[in-house]
Amino acid sequence: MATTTRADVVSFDDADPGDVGRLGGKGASLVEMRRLGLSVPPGFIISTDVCRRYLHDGRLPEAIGAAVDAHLADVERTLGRRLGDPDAPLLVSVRSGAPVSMPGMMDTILDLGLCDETVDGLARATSDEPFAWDCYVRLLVAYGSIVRGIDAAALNAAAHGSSDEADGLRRSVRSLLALIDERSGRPFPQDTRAQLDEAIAAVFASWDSPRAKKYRTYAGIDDDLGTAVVVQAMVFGNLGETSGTGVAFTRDPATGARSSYGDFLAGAQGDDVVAGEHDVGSLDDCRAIAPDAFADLTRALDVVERAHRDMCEIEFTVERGRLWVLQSRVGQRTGAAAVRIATEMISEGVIDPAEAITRIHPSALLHLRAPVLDPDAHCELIGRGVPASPGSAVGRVALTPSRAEEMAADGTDVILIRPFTSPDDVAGMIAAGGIVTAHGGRTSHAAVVARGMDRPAVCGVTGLAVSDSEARFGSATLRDGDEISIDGTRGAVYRGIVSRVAPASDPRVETLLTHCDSHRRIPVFTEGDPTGWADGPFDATAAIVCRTREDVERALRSGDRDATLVISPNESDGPAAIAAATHAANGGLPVIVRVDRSWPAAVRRLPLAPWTAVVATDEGSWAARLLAATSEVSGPKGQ
Amino acid sequence: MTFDVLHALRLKGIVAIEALAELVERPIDALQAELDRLAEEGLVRLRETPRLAGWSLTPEGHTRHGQEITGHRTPEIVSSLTPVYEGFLRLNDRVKALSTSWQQLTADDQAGRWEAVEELGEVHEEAAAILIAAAGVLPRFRSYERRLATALEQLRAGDERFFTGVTVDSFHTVWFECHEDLIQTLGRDRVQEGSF
Repeated sequence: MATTTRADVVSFDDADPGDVGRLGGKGASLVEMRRLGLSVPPGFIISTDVCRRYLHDGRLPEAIGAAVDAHLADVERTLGRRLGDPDAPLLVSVRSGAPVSMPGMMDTILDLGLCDETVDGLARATSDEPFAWDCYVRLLVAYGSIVRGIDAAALNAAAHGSSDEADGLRRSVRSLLALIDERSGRPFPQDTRAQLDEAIAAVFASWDSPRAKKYRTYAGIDDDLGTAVVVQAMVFGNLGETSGTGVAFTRDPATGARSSYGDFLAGAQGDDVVAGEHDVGSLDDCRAIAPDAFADLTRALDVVERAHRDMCEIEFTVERGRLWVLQSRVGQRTGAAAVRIATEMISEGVIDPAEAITRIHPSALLHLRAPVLDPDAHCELIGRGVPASPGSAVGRVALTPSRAEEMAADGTDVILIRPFTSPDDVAGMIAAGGIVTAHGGRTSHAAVVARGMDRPAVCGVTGLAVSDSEARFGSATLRDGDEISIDGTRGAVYRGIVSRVAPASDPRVETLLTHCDSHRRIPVFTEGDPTGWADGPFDATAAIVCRTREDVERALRSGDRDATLVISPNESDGPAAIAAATHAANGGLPVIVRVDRSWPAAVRRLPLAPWTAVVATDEGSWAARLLAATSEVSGPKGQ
Repeated sequence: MTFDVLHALRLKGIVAIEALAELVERPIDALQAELDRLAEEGLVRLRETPRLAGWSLTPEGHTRHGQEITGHRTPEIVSSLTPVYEGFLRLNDRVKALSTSWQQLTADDQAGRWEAVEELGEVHEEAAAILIAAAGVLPRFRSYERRLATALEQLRAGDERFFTGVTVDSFHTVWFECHEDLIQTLGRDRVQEGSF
């Protein structure tokens, strides 16, 4: 192997994970996982240098072929399978991986290495003929579209012409092979090594796809960055009784409790767990069928959490009793879990308070601190539906939008109940404090509008029949003006007014806020205390209060560079006002953020700017304290 | 113009005269005269709530609109608009799913936000073809195409309210209205076809 190409193609075991510029984000993460000693399906990375040369010359450098051969041979030795071997075929995935997140590029080709000969080998290995042929169908669709640029609709039509039985899938394969040949003028390569070369070149070429170029212009990304290609062995969770696939978390992502948590599906492959089409089991199922793999998984969870110093999730496959870690990353979590994990990690000595603060987004605490229906109240549950927009609301029933507007105009808290919503309901939805519908789910118009207005909503309530004169929840019938309570977080509807209480006080939140106070210099004022304003590091008399983006822009245009902008975002225009104010604050102008009643809608996508001060209403002061500390600890961000 | 005014009010619930003038593409003076006449007939009224002010239908106006739209529903219109509507429904799920995922994106996910807007642009291209076909049957559908294009332009210019914002003519707002218009024009039933 020539020395010039040695660094162009590197194995996961033999690279510097810090070299993201050449390995790409995905590649660097795999190298990092190997460095941690995790059992990652073997593979190699073709660096961004090669991409640049490919784009310059219009073809792969010749020496790359030999380097790929050598690395492929290593993978084959490790797994005891060979690319193109009809009896024990090695299959690989080919993915793009740029140093920065890059939409518009070719993403992934799975199961490369399948051909007319090897598909039978896969069928025998998995004892699942339809599965093997389905993999072949998917490969041909991906290959035809991504590598040969054939219209996806035509490919899908050819793929779905027949049944899901092996015979039908065989017919699909034949139509797809014919279609690829006809449309691209060349047959699908039965030579599996040629498949790989074509796929690698297609990834590189996709760096210059119109959509990728457009994104680079938009995001200001250098055209010369290039992408790396990650080639990795496929592993299978459907090879017999000691196989399966799952996802595991180092701590419970819902509560933050310090015990591993996850889903496992025996005898399943890849997306089955994620797709949610199957009832998945717990990690105990993994322990039962593959105790050694489970022990390795437990170790792996420990290792990744220590490496990231944060709660992590691992996607994994168990193939014939052996654990393979496919991906590990910092895990998503609820607001409650975020607070618990951050404070416990301070106690465990894993992170310091400053870092803990940066891990809590104000919107996480916001939902945590929002009033909830009193869990101890004696109340009558009358309906259950889809939790379409979070939060709780209580009030009186309105069955038509005009009734909702009239009642709201009189100062009544209103819950609008409709069979479903039409555009002429929107005014009523705005007037109401909460929304209930009989039909539709999380993506219904009602749900989209409710979330857009930050109104709690329960949609698609089972058994609810609504007319303009009454709403029948099974045996309970409600009319205009009757009392009702809804919980949009849990999807529950109650008769009567259930008292709303602050959620059970969480000492962890208090701990965190104390840390916030000792880590911020940005002053926090409460609105009821105007003396604080007067003493602030700005001229309160010259303050310009802005509620919309237009207000901010007008204030900036006025040219008064000494004025202080006070951002008090209104409900509908909040995010735009905050975005404009962030610009001003990042430009060094004094900007004060006022945390008021409409904060929830505005704060959801709040960037952290170097605010001059934060002003809060009393009940919002926790959000203000966190916001002030986070802005300072994390530094300016956003646009 | 009478039907156009009644129809616009039926779709939007409550509309300020300036916005109504844009929807029915008439000068404000002529529209004012028409609204006054319709108010005298008891079909429309001017309403003011703390949050909104504008014209809306009276119950009699609702009834009249129902009669007129049924009268306009000729077999020719139904048969030529039905395939158009089926195309619209196929896109509808994508728009709703895209709107939902947009609302769940985080502030720092620049690539995700860009991708969502791009995908919306793709949906718009398909939608434009459908709405232009619809405009061949009933010219008012052309205005939805124009309003969707404007929402997309605003969004691309960086005003993120124009994706799912409720109080602006966002893509979702216009889409929602267009769906309702098709449903009413064809006399469909949301419950029966399960599109909410």
